[in-house]
Amino acid sequence: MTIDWAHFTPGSALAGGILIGLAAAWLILENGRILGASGLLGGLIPPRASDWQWRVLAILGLIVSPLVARFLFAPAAPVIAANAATLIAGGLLVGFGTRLANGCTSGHGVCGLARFSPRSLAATLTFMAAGFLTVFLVRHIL
Amino acid sequence: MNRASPFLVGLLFGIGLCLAGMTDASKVLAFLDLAGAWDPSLAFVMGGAIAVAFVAFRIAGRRAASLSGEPFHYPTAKRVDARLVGGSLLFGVGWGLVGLCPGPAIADIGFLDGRAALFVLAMAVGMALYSGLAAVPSKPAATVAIDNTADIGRLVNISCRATVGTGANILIAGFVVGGAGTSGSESLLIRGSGPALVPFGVAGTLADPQLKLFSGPNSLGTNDGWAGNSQVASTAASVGAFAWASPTSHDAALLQPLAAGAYTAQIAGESGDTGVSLAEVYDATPAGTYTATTPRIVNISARVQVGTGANILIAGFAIGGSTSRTVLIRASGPALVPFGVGGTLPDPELQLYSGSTVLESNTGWAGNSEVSAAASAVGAFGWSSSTSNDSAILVTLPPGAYTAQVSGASGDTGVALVEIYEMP
Repeated sequence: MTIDWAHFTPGSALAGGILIGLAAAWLILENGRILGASGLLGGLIPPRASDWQWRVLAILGLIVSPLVARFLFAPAAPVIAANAATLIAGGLLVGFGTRLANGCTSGHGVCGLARFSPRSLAATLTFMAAGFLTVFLVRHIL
Repeated sequence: MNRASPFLVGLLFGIGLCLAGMTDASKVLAFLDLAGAWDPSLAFVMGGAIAVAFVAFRIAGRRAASLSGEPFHYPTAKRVDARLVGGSLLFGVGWGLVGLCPGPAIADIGFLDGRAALFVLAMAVGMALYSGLAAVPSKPAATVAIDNTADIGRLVNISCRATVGTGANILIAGFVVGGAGTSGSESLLIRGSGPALVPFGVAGTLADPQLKLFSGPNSLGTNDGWAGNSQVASTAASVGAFAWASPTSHDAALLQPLAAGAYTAQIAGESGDTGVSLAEVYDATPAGTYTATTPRIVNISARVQVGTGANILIAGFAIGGSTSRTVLIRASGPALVPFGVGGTLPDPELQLYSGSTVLESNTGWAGNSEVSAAASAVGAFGWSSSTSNDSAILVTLPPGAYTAQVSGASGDTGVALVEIYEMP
């Protein structure tokens, strides 16, 4: 294993992680909800009369965040190299898989692990392993 | 719920993702590429986020409800099952293919990135595919998806204690059996307690309750005294109803299979007597036999003369099953006037309790659009005035026992209707 020291950014990664943790803290303490991006969006498909409003607002906040971030620091522009077919296949897998598993990196990986949930630990280990394996196959085998 | 805070939470979440570098798919892939030039930064993102969230959940664990009064919505599933592992596997493959997980993908739309938008669109389609499969109850192909939803959260009990008068002031509890995609009939236990309340210290009980069950104008059954019926006793025990001690007491019960439809249970004094009585309706579907096609109680209501102190309207209800259920609870007073009901409670205050904790309360629905949309979705009669003092609560509740209490906000009295609807 070789570490890419040139792109290694532990400081901003830790600071960004703390902000994500604060967002999760705010949502649970003020509104009693678990912060999970797949659940935010998935709960709108289909929308339910009781709880669509807060989800739309949170997603809007997420979408405008890069515009606001530009006033605070220089956020790295997203470099998405995948072609259209891969984007569609990946999106379908991520959408279907996160709903089936009831959570993604934020719901299981952050909130679930912070709650010591055995389900979230199993989910996180599984999607991390699948992610590592997929990248290994795509970059080094295929 | 405070309107601004979910937006600010999303904003803070997104700024964190931007600062952490999670929005850059190439950086995420560099983290997932253990065999290449590995960038371990993202491990620090998770570490920082988990540390802060850990403290927050510890604080939340010591509180009964969130700061807004909304109860904590914790996941109820406990088992590590095939759905969880299979779903995470699919998600991990998609994540590894593109380098985007749901949060950063949505935030990347804000960079005006067309590829991110395409990815999010595909993601939404994937979620819709899942919702579509999960909504099909009996296809074997979808067993994986419905594994946990076979025992859905549902209303399994209502009880209402009130002073029973005569004429229009007898105790009337309504309930609707049904649910989309259900067929056949549901077994129900309906009880009218009077003398059985004495051991609980209730004074002035109705000496001789008579229980009548109606479907519209048609009488389906009458009972004046349960006579120690062993089926009634064993069913009561299996649904967790308190036991009636004396087989010769005048408490009344009916055990009846009912097809989908609307019913009313009426309790009056058999000989025109008056007093305090408790009406209860229980879902008596035997444990373990409930399926998505079994009819269930989808609505319960009680119309009662509301007094003060111990005589306010107290309607108990229970949500059974293993998943949370969204319910609409309404307390109508002024809204009953157009129906010709006299002496209505002018300003009903509605409070939802779990044990002795107030989960939600409402005094005046203020024309809330979510409430009116929910009411029309379940077919509840419409409230015409957005400034009326009628009260409503729309809330998602985990399985458990709850009470809805209706009282006059300024201590006044009158007739009120409390209704609890299951939201589809």
